[in-house]
Amino acid sequence: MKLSNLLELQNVTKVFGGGLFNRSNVTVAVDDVTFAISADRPTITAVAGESGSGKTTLARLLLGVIKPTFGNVIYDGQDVSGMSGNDRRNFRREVQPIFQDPFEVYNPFYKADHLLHVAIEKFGLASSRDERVQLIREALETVGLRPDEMLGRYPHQLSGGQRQRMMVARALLLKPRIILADEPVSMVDASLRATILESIRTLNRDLGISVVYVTHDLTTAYQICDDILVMYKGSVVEQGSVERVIREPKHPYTRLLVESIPQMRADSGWEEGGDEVLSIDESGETTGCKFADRCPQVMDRCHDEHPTAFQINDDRVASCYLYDELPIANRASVAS
Amino acid sequence: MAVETTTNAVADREQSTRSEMPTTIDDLRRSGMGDSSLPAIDVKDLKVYYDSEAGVVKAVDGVSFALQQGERLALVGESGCGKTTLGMALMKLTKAPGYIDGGQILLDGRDLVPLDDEEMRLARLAEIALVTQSAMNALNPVMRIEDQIFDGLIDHGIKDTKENLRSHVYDLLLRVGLRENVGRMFPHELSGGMKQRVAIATGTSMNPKVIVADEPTSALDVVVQRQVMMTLSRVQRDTGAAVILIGHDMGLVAQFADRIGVMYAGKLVDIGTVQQIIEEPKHPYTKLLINSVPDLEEKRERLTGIPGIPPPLVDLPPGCVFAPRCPSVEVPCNELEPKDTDIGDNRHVMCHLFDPDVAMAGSEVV
Repeated sequence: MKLSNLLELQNVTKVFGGGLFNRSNVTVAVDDVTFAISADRPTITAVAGESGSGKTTLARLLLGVIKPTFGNVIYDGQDVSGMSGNDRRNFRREVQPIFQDPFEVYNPFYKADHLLHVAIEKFGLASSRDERVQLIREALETVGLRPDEMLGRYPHQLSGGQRQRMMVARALLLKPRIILADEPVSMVDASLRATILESIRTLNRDLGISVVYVTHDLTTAYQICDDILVMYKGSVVEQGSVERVIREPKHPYTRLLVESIPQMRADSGWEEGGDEVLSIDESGETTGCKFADRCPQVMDRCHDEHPTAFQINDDRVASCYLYDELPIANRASVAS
Repeated sequence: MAVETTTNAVADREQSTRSEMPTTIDDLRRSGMGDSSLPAIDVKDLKVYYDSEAGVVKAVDGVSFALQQGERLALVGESGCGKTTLGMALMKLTKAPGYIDGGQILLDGRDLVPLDDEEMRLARLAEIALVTQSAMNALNPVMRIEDQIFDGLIDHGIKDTKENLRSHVYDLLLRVGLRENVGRMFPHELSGGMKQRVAIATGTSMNPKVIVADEPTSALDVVVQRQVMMTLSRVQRDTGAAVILIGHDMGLVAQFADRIGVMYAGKLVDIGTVQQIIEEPKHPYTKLLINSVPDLEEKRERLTGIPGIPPPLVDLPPGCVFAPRCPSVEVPCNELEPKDTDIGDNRHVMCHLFDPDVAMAGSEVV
């Protein structure tokens, strides 16, 4: 039996650079990533990793903005890169992005709600002006903004949090099935962060929209997500339920990441020592595990061959030879 | 919390600090921490204002705190609360149209506010050093790392042989966990974390009494962030300097600092030890701030932010600046400005709820 998947990555690899005359200077931004968002129930999936881990490239692949070098992005049973006409239009409406920088997406010469009007017009969601305004008001209220305070104002008159919530409202207007939020809160204050994340969670809980939350912040990922993919240099090192992955990380990289999160507690200061894991060479090409150079538990074989994903629990896999006695995972069925 | 000093003692101190300016690497190595009875830095009623067309922007408005030698204070608050402005003012790097409108910055007893540009230039690095957010951009791309560190030393009156300078730089690099050969490298050869370590090495090259670290890791990934903060920690312990860490990440601050100062709209509204602030937040703003930080302890049903937005600094509300957003607001809050109240254990709160002289229904005065 195969569960139906809404959006799916099948062995997707994205290579940048290279080309006809320059074969040496290539970057594998996303390396053989497979995961799926189920159509059966709305979930929030985190794609977590540090800068350069390929998480934004992954998000752009999911949005169909760039095409994979190898592998397929499948939406509702159809390959995204092969879509045309109505299907593509549909995909564009049903998979909505929210970007990192709420300052850059607005045109300063237009009023902030211009963006919402354009979205409605492009997709023909309203037949009259009144209906359009009504839709906008409803969307703003859903994300906790007061329409009377927002409408008719210019972007510079709004705070960062208001602007970002307006972006959430814009995504919401189009009645999407998936929202892809790429670092939506990394540029706002902690106090607003909570408010914005809460409005994203509301979309998931109350409106049944699935969310892909791309972030470097494991704490917020833990708070709002069901599943998580941890990426390192383009590869998924560990994926599964967020509770498993964060509570009992198995891959040495995930462990390092979780240990490094500064926790707001008065009782535990960071211990000294163990700080010489500073990686100096970042560029080294390897056929083996990409984390091998920094891994405290590195073995000989780690340098030779890239580990495949092993099934650690029924709801979590990790790509690490420490677990090679466990069965090889069928990654397509892991997330959700 | 201020330590009283007579004008005479201040003058003496000033005299001796000047005459003790190190001129060789040996002097530097011997230079101690000064008079331990005085706070390393004692800020009194500091005001930093900006003139704008809309009026005077009170970016830092009457901030006072003192920091003992070897103590680590973190300043936190939402963006625009004045924490970076305060940090820059401590270095006297406030840029026009900003200016220091009043107050004192006593560094080991000597007031920095009246110093002229040249005196202040000499005091920077030697006595109070800055490690900024964008250390990567602070490095000169066409100079070797060691030459950049020499520059600062020579500019501050160190006259010594190249060998001695170089051996000092190597010591500094080792102290921040970098190999000697990093000295001969150029900035582009280093990763972000390594550059930030170089910035720490440079900042501590003259054993300053105070290090101002303004979001030193905000551009770094969590793993590297921890390494850099532990480096700063070790260097701080070795040199005995006081550190003022400016940040917004409550977790990071809790891991690093001894005390936390919470700023809101240019005022220091709450200051106490990490434990006091996190476990028993007093000011209503601190409570909301602590509550808005997600953790890994338990999954929360709801994430709650702080309702409303900070007031514009040109047009502050009368009375308490936090009153419009405060869940515990009462009549006096909208009329009377709260004053800095010492509630014991060196804990200061700027809120009427803790002021015995103000009648509040929800008063928490014991």
